[in-house]
Amino acid sequence: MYDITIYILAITAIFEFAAIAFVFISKSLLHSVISLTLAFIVNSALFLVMGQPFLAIIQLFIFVGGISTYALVGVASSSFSKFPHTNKAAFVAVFVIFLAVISYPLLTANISSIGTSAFTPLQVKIGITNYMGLFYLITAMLFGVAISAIILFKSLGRLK
Amino acid sequence: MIEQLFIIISFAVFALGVAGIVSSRNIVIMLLSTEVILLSATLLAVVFFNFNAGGEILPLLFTIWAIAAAEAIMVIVFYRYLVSSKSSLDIKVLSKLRE
Repeated sequence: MYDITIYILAITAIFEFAAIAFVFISKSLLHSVISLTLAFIVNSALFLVMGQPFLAIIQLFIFVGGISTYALVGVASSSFSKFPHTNKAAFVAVFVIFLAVISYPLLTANISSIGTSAFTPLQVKIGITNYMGLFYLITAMLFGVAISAIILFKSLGRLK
Repeated sequence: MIEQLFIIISFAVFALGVAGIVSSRNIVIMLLSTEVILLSATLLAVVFFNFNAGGEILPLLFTIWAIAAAEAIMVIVFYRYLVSSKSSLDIKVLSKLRE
């Protein structure tokens, strides 16, 4: 019943975790911001899986259109070559321990006591529609243009 | 229930953000991980919007979006200030500035 939903959910979740992990693994602040933008896009895709296209569009506008563009321009406009990087071993250890601690109560919790869930397998069909695909296509195009512009201006700066 | 998977995903994103704050010494990365934490908060809010919340969770969601946008401005202002003043991004060096 939920087969397709779970597959889509698993793929988007893996992309989101990978994008967020790359924010901390990356050795360049610009790459960190780009991967954070990818995480924002995938997070709004998770809203689509939940059948909330309107909230997904707002998420796309605010996080990708506003926050990411601002951060991208701000970080790309100047470069810091020397800065401390994330301690990867500590990152993994804190992530595993913290996730285990906060997820443990959820294993025994009865979420249905909160209210009636509006989530049905049809929600995915409500969320993932053709016009939403256009929004994501435009997002990908603008995101590609922004990164290309940064690469172009960086190479022009090197020429001088 | 499938909602539990969404909640676990948002918890995992939250844990990634907390681990980023704890394990990083770069102030910009720390502030970006705060964005990740706010991202997990939006995800959790939308999960509970799927229950019979009746729109009560939406003001919280809009508040989180507003805080995230304000925080992004703070990140860039800090970053530009630190670059222009030629100081370090290391949080240990910055913590000595108050002394």
